[in-house]
Amino acid sequence: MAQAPAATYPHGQANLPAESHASGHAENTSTGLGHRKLLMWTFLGSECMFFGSLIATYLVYRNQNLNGPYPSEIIDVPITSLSTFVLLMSSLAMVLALNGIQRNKPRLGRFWTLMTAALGSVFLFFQVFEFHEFAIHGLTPRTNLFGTTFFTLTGFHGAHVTLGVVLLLIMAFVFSRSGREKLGLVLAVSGFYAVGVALLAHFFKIIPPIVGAPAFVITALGLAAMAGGGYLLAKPAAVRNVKAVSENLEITGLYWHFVDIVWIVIFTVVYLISANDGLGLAQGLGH
Amino acid sequence: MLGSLFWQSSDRYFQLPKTYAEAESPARKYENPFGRLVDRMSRMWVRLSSGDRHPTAGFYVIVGVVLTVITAIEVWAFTWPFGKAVINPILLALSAVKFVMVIGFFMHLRFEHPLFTRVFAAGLILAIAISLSLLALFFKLNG
Repeated sequence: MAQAPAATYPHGQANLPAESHASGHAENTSTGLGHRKLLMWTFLGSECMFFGSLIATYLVYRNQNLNGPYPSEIIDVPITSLSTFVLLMSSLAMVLALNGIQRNKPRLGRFWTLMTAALGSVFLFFQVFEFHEFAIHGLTPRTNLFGTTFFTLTGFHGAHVTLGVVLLLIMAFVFSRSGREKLGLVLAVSGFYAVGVALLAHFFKIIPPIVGAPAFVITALGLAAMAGGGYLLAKPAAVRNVKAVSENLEITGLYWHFVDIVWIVIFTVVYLISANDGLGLAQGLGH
Repeated sequence: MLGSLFWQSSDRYFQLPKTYAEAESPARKYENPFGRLVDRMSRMWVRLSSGDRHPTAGFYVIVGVVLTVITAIEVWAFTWPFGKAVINPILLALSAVKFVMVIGFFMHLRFEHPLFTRVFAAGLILAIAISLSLLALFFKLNG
């Protein structure tokens, strides 16, 4: 049977093997572009609509509170600026991870992947701290419209960050080949979270049983686990299937950067622009 | 002048060199409105943004530093003793610059096929349209 001539597509690409920007991984597609990456960009476009609706809802109900606490009473711009900086740096770490892999430096790639996950986790610690502080000051999702829209928006963003951290940790695990590396990774990650939770619990009294001596014991154990894990990871074996890992890391990175750009908007709209919002509608009603 | 500034080649954005080979080639004349200065700057840009095929780590660090500086300016602007009518547009503009920088450089859209840009821009434009419609509707209802 005669073979049909290859169709010509825009940009002169005719059934060309798609070459990923990240990996050079060949894949036969009609557009000449990687399907999975195109799917991720389409998904991120749909996520714009998701977060756009939540941000618009926040703005619609801005200054419509009948009772406090109001944004001007509880929003802490310096603390949130710090967490914004942390998330920005996690984006930088993410792109450095991908750069390391693309330049065939898997150890560097894994280091920056773990740094991205660590910085993302620090951002989440900041968010837990903030939510806890707000709850102490009487703001919950049921308190007023500000509480409802604020917790819905930032909560969904936090859920996205959490998913991103999980994906990054999976990627770091995939980098690891030997049992020694996997053990090192588990030790380092569990130690990091133990230290984070213990410090958060001790200083901010979020988990009452972990205050004082238990917090210090957990912190010491966590630091020891991190040191042990770091030692085991210091001499890694060769990374398995670098090209496939590179493409997966690039797609994970796209998701991570998207989480960052959503926060760029949230930080400006919810924190900087709305931070001085006061009584609003309540003032008009004579409260 | 404006035409050359916004002119888009078939598969890339501005008619500026993207690789060492392109930048060093005397055969190709690059369209730009500011002559030699832009040529020099574009060569510097190429060295930073296209080490071989991918941007260098140093380039990403520079982008990260610029993003940090813009964030610091945002927080500083928050304290300026002007009205919301002055500060809010500045904050939104700075936020938009950061947004574009992360998408363009960290997410590689500047170096990618335009189809990715179009797919993402479609969702983004729709999101902005939905948001503005919602705001317009509610502000009209609330007077």
